Amino acid sequence: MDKKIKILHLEDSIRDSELIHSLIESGIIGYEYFLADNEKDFKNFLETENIDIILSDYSLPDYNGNEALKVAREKYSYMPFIFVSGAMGEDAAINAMLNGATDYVLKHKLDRLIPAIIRAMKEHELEIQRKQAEIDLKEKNEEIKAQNEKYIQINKELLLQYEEKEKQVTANKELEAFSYSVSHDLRAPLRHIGGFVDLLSKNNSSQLDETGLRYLNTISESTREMGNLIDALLTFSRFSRAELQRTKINSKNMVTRLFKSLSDDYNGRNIEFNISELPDAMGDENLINQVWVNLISNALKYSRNKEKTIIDIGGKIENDKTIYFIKDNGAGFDMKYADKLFGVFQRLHKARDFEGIGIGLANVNRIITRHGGKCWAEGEVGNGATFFFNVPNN
Amino acid sequence: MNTEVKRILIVDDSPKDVELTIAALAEKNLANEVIVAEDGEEALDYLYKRGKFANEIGNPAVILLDIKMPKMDGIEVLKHIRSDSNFKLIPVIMVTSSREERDLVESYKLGANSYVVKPVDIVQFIDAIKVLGQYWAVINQPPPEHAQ
Repeated sequence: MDKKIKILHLEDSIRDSELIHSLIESGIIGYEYFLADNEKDFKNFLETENIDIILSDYSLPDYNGNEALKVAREKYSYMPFIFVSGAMGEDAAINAMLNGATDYVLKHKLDRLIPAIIRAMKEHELEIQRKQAEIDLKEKNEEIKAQNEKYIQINKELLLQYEEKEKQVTANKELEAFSYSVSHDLRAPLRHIGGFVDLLSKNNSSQLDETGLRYLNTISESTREMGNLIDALLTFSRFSRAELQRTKINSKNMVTRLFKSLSDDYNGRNIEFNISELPDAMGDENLINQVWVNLISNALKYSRNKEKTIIDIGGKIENDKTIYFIKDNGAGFDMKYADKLFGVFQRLHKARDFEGIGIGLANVNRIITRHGGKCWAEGEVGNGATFFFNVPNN
Repeated sequence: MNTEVKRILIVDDSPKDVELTIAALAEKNLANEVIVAEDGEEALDYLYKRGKFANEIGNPAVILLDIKMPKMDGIEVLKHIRSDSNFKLIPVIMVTSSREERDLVESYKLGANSYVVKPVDIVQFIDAIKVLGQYWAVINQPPPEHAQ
């Protein structure tokens, strides 16, 4: 024991107190000794000093050990309290222990005193440690309980998310099956119409005049058109549902490669293609590829009536998004109808001027929107158009 | 060398598609020995020479098999054909409107010789049938009738 033990001694005999004090002096290394011979001083010391252990006589003139014990136990239920008494009697001793005394030492056997004090202090120390351990354990338990609650909550949320995802997957599958069978069922009659019109024109052409044959031709053309529309709708629907797999995309490589393959169909045309620095994008490789295919094809298509086709592509990072643009010097469009550009089957040019279904930009819009971005365009009739889209950097 | 007449078995539940197919084959003069089965059961009836085909003889040189049919679909029919040693070797071409990868894979796994999707464009369809007919019923040597 390396800190000073504060000993409070309740004893009215000076001789006994001196004897016991000297025993303590020789037996205990660091201590402070407080002597009280009456109730008032006893209570006072107890109050003002941080007493570690009480030694008490059994009976004093105006006070007695049991009272002192009661007082001490009321305030400090765990403080070591040793009776040091001459005449105690067995019953008194037993009573004292039952009332909570830690030990008792007889005055004519004081060799037991120091060991008793040391033992009492040790047990007290252990008791304190035990109580602290209990408190720590309780705290730890509460902590674990709280964490458990947290984990249960997280689990619940994950389960919900999972169920949501499952629902979506099922819905997608159903939609896919529906789209497939719809397009399927629509194709068969188309094939029949086209087929029998063809037979008609082969077998019965002699019975038909020029107009009749032209009518048949128109029917064939229309069935072909309808076939394309069905295909386009299917593709559009698929793009709306496909899982987005985001990776880093080297836009410059993608655009350069696409331009090469798309412009192969335009040999003989004077095409100038300028790509300035293109930042990488975060997106689904297949879908973003489709976006560029549509935009570049459009740029090439709508500028084919110009002597020289000039297409500029560029991009930059702005805050949390990457913006790309493609500018052509082609037919352009009337800004009045700009909001129709990205609609499904919407066209701003006559079919006889520029063929097309009107699904390309709708696809672009769908894909970019699914990426969390936006697309828009600027143009002037006869003076080209610029298409913009952005994707989050994420 | 087998110089006998090359029969073409068409298995398809759509009479319109059948008529268009026959018209296409006719352009290559292949329409004379065309047999039509309107579903899987009839196809097997023909192969096993029972039911309405009880009086027929000989194996077809090639089978044009649709997939989407009622009762027994084309995949089922293909399975049957390939599991019988009498018919195992007959060339089977899936001529079907199904573009589904699942059907494609199953067909090839079960031993189809070819898989053609009926195009919407009738010119393409006719061309395909003509080419197929020309190849399988004229140029190609069908397996001998009773090989194992």
